[in-house]
Amino acid sequence: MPIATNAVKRGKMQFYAKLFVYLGLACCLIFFDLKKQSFSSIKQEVSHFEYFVVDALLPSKDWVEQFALYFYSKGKLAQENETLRGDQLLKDGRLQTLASVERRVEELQALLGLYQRSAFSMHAVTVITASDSPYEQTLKVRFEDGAPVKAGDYIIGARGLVGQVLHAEGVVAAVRLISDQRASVHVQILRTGFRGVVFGRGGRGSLELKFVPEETDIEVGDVLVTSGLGGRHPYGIPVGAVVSIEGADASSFSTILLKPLANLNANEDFLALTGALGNDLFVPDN
Amino acid sequence: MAVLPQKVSNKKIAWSIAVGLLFSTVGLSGISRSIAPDVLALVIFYWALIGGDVRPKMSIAFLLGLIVDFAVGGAIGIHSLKYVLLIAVAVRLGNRFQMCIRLKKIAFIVLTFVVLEVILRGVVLMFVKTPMDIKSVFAAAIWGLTWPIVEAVLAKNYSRIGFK
Repeated sequence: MPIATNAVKRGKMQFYAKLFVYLGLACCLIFFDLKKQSFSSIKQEVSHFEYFVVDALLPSKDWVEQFALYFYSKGKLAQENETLRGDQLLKDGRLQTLASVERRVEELQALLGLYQRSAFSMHAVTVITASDSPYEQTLKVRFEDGAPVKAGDYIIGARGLVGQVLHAEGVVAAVRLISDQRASVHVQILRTGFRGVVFGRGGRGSLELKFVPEETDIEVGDVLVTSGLGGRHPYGIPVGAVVSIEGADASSFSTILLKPLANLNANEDFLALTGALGNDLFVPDN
Repeated sequence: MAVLPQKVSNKKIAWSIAVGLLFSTVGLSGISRSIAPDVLALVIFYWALIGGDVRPKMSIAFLLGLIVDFAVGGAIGIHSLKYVLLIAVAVRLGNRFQMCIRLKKIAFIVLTFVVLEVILRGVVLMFVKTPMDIKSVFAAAIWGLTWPIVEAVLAKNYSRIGFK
């Protein structure tokens, strides 16, 4: 019995026949090419065509390379920018910290100078809390145990008056800032000697000199200091500077706004004036 | 009938052959043409072994060989001979190849490419008396070793990126 059918045999025969045809054809081509050089002209044409294609593609290759380089450089630059921005932020933060420390040191040095220069009895106080309400401008300060801080004492900064002690208990005192709506300070204009009363306006950056007749000699930039009247507080503590003067419409008084000279918001260390009177606390030139 | 690991489409075979043709004609930058891999030969051999009924035909292999010969500028007919022989080997030994373990497959591929390279060099020597370039034989063996990579690339299912 035959193992392979006739069809399979025929298929094999066809396969081998085809194989030999192609092998023969390939060998003929090799022979004609290597021995007779029959295809040299075609090869030359093909190589010309290749050169033509390469020449045509060369500019686009350059363009693609430049394009890739552009995107590579762009990506690299973006990455560098990101890194630099991060560094910048970090350095800005450090610079701000340094500036804040520097400002605080300056403030402390000024307070120390004030303390050493004055014959007035003073005690350092440190802010522990501050009220956020615009209707109640108060601070809570802590002072040294045993310091005679009491209600009514002035709290001063390096540049001027900050507020007045409302009450003290233990080592903590409540202070009403001069910007509080209920605060009032008796002042005197340094340039003219005119006396008046400054009231807080509720906002921390604003005071008002009230009940000043229109004809009073007062100018923007005039500095107002504590008057010292009554004998309880010293004369000459800077309170504020005039920033605007508006004529009265209905009444005969001017509306005079002042800016406090002491920095009420930022500082943490102040002095409490607790001792006897003395007029040499602030030198007018300073 | 060959054992097919997956359904192979003519489209996939055509694409892979086109890419192989590009590599074989243009070459790989940085590699001398005498030792550069004949990617098209690897692709044709892979599909001839795996493709079963849709394997590349001998006539197609012959024509592709002619294209490569004209593009490369070597002896005309040498690549045709090579590809036709590869098809013949694959048709005769494809079924047995499918059943081999991977190591044997690689050994078979390397051996086939080396023998083929020697045969081709011998054919050229018959017509032109030039010393045999032994480097190309070693290169053929080395590129035969890349078979697992070729297998992995061609066997991968690319339907997710549009090729079926």
